[in-house]
Amino acid sequence: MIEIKNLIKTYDRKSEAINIANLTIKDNTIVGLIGVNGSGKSTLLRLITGVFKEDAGEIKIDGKEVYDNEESKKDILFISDNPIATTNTSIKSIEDFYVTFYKMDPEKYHANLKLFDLPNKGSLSKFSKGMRRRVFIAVALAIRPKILILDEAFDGIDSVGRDIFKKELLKVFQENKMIVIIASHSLRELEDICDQYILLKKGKIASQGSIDMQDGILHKYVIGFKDATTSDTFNCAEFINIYGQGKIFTIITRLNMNDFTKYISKFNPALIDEQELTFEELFINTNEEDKKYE
Amino acid sequence: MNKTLIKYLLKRTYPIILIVFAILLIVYPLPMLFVKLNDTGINLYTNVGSEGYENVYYNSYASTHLYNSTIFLMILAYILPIFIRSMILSKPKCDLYLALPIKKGKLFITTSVFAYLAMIVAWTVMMLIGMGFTAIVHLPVRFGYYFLYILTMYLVSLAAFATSTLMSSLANNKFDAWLLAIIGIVLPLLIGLSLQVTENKYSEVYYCALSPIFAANNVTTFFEKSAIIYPDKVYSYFNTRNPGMLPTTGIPFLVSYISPIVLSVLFLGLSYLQTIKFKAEDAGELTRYRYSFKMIIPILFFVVLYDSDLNSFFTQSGTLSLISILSYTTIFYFILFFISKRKIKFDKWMVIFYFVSLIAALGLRSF
Repeated sequence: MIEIKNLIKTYDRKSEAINIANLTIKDNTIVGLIGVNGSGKSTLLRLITGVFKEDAGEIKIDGKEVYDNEESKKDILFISDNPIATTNTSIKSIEDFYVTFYKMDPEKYHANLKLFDLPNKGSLSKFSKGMRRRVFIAVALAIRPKILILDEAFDGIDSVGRDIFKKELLKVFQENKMIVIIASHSLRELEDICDQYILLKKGKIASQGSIDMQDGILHKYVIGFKDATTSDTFNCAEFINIYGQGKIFTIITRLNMNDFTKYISKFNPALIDEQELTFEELFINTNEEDKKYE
Repeated sequence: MNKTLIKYLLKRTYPIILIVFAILLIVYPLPMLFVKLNDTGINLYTNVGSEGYENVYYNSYASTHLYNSTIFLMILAYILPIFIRSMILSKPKCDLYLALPIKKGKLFITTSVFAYLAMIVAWTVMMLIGMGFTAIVHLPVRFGYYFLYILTMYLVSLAAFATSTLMSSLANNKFDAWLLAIIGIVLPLLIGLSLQVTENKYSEVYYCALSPIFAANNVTTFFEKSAIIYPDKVYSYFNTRNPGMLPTTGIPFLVSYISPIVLSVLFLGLSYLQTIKFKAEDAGELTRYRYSFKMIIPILFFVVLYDSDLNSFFTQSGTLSLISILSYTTIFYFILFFISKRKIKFDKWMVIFYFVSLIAALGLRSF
């Protein structure tokens, strides 16, 4: 279990990069970490992996501090957004490196490389961005750490590769009791594999919860009118976004069904229906809402 | 020390160590195998006796090749710490190495000890082979000199390694790491040279550091000597083979043998603290003025002081030279500060300090 309390991280003692009062990630969870560029995703991941030291607060994994703690770090594998650190990195040198420091099964590593349609040897300098990313995913799936942290996991990977990655990750996840945290802008992919999400905004948690939106804070309604109209006629401050024109409109709002029906009834709609909000819609509209109130 | 990391480093670096060893073999032992007695010039000194024979041999041949091995060892001792420091001088590297289940301090100690030992073991083996080859071709060898030379070079290279480690540990990016390490090598000599040129009175103080520059007629000797300025007296002893110069007691002994160790321990200890203090978020960023480049003044002041004859500082001219060293160090610091910032931005205190330093440095000419 990962426990974060009163965590603060600043850069140059000026800008607050992370400010999280309380966050708990339980075992057996795949968490999608989302947020716009500069929202603090990578900083949070680096704090959890002990690359960065917190300015205040604490990060504990199974009750133990993380920063500069060998015991805690044994259980964590971090694959960063730019995982190649040396110019002479090869398939073999990566194997040597991870076999030395983690319990990586070399056979599994090579099997994963084959699965991702990658060669069994060669320098990574000749590989494309997506191929390099797949090599490190092959490493992660061969190590099966207790806590797997992936930054920009789907970056550069084609749809076939993404599909294999998702299936393999879920297989490994089901076989091992682990926590997976994935930071990504590919919300569609996260929706497929994550069961929790954390939305970061300016270093703070804007929202978090189950990925299936059962406890979601935003709602999506579809309304229909007999005659064509414009959104200006029924728009109100509570609506975050309105899509559509003519007779059918889709509205994203914080209002629950009762309050929404009560308000929209004044305009005599012929149809009111609540639909499931996709993960991507949640992300976009949460940001939209903030812009509206700024 | 982390055994896992040592195994990994050994596995990854043994081809490089073998290449270094091969170069060392070419530099020193192999030429010794092909030396002919005529090459030593002995036929020109038919009446010099056995002692003269040795002198000719050492001066004309053996020492030349030893210089080459010295240069190579010192270059390694200076640049290896920069590569070690580079492990944490970019964000991707920090993500990789600082996320490993190894403490930051252990990572630094293990890598540094491994690098120094790998270098010194390769060099020692090369020296022993050289000794063997010299014996094979029946050249006159005083093995005692060899062992003294080896011991001296252990101390010298350790001091160089420690100096470069400390200087590069002040940097946040690779460029500054190289810059600072080069300062550690060059600045003591530059200061000495400046003083020598401007005022002959200090020639005695800087004799040890400067003699190679003025006496040398070629670049090789300059580098060879400049690289080993620290236990200068021991080296001088070896070079001239005059037992009377061997410092066995008093300050010269301390300076020659004990102080390189003290200096190394102190510098490596400070480097360790710097590494522990290092923040991954600073990797690749500009080196911070307040915590890094300013330290050049006390560090280099100490190095220059150490390089000089301590006794002379208790005299009036010694006091003046202290002020002068400090002035030159400060001027150099300002130049480096501008380089480190990659732009020139003056504030009034900087200008005042700069001119005070300049006047103090140049004003000493009148004494």
